[in-house]
Amino acid sequence: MLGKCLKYDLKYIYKVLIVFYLIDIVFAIFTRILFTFDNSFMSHVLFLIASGTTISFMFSIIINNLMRVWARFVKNLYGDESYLTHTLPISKSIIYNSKFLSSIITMATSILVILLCVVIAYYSKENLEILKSTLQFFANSLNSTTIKVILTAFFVIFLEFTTILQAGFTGILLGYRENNLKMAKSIIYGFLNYLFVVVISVLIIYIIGLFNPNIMALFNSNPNNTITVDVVKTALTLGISLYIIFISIYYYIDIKIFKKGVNVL
Amino acid sequence: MELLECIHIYKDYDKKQVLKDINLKIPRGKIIGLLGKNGMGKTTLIKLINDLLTPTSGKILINGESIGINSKKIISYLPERTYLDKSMTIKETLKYFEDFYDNFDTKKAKKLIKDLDLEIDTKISKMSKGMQEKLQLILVMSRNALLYILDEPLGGVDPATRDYILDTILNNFNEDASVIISTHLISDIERILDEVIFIDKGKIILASDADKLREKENGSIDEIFRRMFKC
Amino acid sequence: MNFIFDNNRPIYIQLVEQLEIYIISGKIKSGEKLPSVRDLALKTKVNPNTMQKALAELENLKLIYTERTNGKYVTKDKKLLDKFKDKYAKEKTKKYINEMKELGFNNSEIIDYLKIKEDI
Repeated sequence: MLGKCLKYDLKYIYKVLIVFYLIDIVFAIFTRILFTFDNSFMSHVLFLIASGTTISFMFSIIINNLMRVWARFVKNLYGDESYLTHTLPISKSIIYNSKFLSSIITMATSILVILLCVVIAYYSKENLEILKSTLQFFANSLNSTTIKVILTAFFVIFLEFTTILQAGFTGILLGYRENNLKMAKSIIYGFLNYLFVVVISVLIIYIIGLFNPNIMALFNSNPNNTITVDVVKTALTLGISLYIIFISIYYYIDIKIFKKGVNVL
Repeated sequence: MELLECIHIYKDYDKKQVLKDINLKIPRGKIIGLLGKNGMGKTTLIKLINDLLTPTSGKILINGESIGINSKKIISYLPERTYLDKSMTIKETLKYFEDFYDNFDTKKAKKLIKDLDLEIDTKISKMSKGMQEKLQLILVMSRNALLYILDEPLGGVDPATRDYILDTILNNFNEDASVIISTHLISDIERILDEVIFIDKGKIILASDADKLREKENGSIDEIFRRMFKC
Repeated sequence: MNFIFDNNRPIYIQLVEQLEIYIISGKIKSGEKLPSVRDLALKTKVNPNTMQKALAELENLKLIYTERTNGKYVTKDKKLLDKFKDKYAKEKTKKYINEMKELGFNNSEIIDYLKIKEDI
C-alpha cells in the first residue's frame, strides 16, 4: 500500500516539478552552447542571460519543490481531499510515510537535477581548475578530490532542505490541530521549528566549541583566526549528523501527532 | 453483533459541546435516515464514524472493532463536499479507487458513468459541480461495502437529480448492507427509509421504525419532525 | 405499474392496498410470477425491506404464494380473488352511498342515479 500511496504523492509533486527540471536543463544546455561560442558581444550577452536563467531556475526548482510538497500535505490531509485520504483502508503511518518519503525523494531528484545543470552549464577543465584552487586547501586536507567536496556540499544542501520540509510538516501538523487560523499558525509553527533547528545547532556547535578550541574558531570573526582543516571536517560531520538527528526527531514527532487522529473541518 | 455502535459519544469544539452522549446501534440490511436541521450534529457524528474527527470521549465500534483499517474497508462514505483530486481524469480516479479498495467494482462504476454520458477521459476539474457530485455518488455506490454513509446527498439538487440519486442508491446497495442517509430534506427521502433517527442540538431525540412512527403519530415523518422541532 | 404514496401513512400498508388492487383487477394475472422483491422495490421506488414486508402481508392474505425456489406467484384461487373483489366492491359501494346520503339523497334516488350512469 505504501507503494500505491507513494505513486500518487510523487505524481502530484512531479507533475509541475518535471517541467521546471526540463526548462532548467534546456537553459543549462543553452548556457553551455553559448559558452563555447566565439567571444562576440552578442553571444556574451546571450550567455549571461542563459546562465542567469539557469541559476534562477535552480532556485525555482527548490522553491517549487518545497511548495508542492507542502501543498500536497495540506490538501491531501486537511483539505477537501482529506475526506478521501483519511477514509482509505490504510494505516496512518503508511499515509505519513508516503508523504515523508515523497518529500525526500523529490528533494533528492531536485538537488541531482540542479547538480546536473551545473555540470551541463559550467563543467570544464578551466572552471574545475579555478574551483580546485579555491577548494584546494579543504579538498587536499579532507583527503578527497574536489568533486567529492562538491558532492558533499550538495548533500548538505539536500539535508538542509529536507530539514526545512520536515520542519514545515511538523508546523502544519501543529497548526491544523488548532481550531482557527490553521494555515497562518502552520506557517508560524513551521518557521519556529526551523528557527529551533538553527538555534539548537548553533548552540550544540558552540557547546562543543567550549571543549574544542578549533571549533570555537567558527564563532570568532577575527580575520587572523584562520579556520583549520580539522574544523571544516568536524563541522561537516557535525552538520550532517545534526541534520539527520533533526529529521529523525521531526519524523518521530509527526508520526506521534498524526496517529492521534485528525480533526478535519 | 451490531454493524455500528456508538457508545456515549461526546464531541467538543472550542469548548462548545457539539455532540452530547450519543448512543446508537445500527443493524444490518436497513436504510436509516439521520434527520435533523443543519448544524445539529449530523455531519459531526458522521465524520467521527469516518475518522475525520476524534471524539472527545466515548467509543465507536464497527463490526465490533474500533475505527481503523478494517472499518474503512467496509464503510463507503459520501461526504458533503467533493473530495476528488480535480487534476485527475475520471479514468485515473477509477484506478485510484481500484488501487485502494478491494471491494470496488470498476465494471459497475464504468457502466454507471456511461449511463451519465460522461467521457472517461474527462478531467474532474472540467466537470460541473453537479456532475462531480454524481460521479462521487457512483464511486461510493460502486463499492461492495457493508455500510454506506451518505451525508446530505440531496442538498440543493433539482427533482430530476434527486430521483437519479435515490435510484442510484436503491439500485446499488447490496442486501446485507445498511445505508445511513443524513438529510434535512425529509419529505424527499422518507419513503425509502426503514428507520429514522432524529438528532437535535447534539442529542439523539428519537430512534424508531419509520412505518411504526407514522402509524403511532398519524402523519408523515416530515410532519412529525416539524411538529417536534417547530420549524 | 404506477404507485402513488402518501407519506402520512405507513408505506407498506399502502403497498399492500395497491398491490391488492392490481391483483384483484387482474392487472397482475392470476398465476403470474411476480418480479423479485428487489425489482419490485426499484419499480416502486421504495426500500426493498418495505416491499418484503408488503409481500409478506399479501402472502398472509394468501393472495400470493411462494414456490420454494422459483419466487412468488399470484394465487390461482379464484374463490379467494372473488372474495377480495366482493370486499372491495362492498367497501366502495358503502362509501358511495354514505356520501350520497350526506348530500341528502334517499335510497330510491340513489338507485335512479346509478341507472343513468351511462349519460354522465
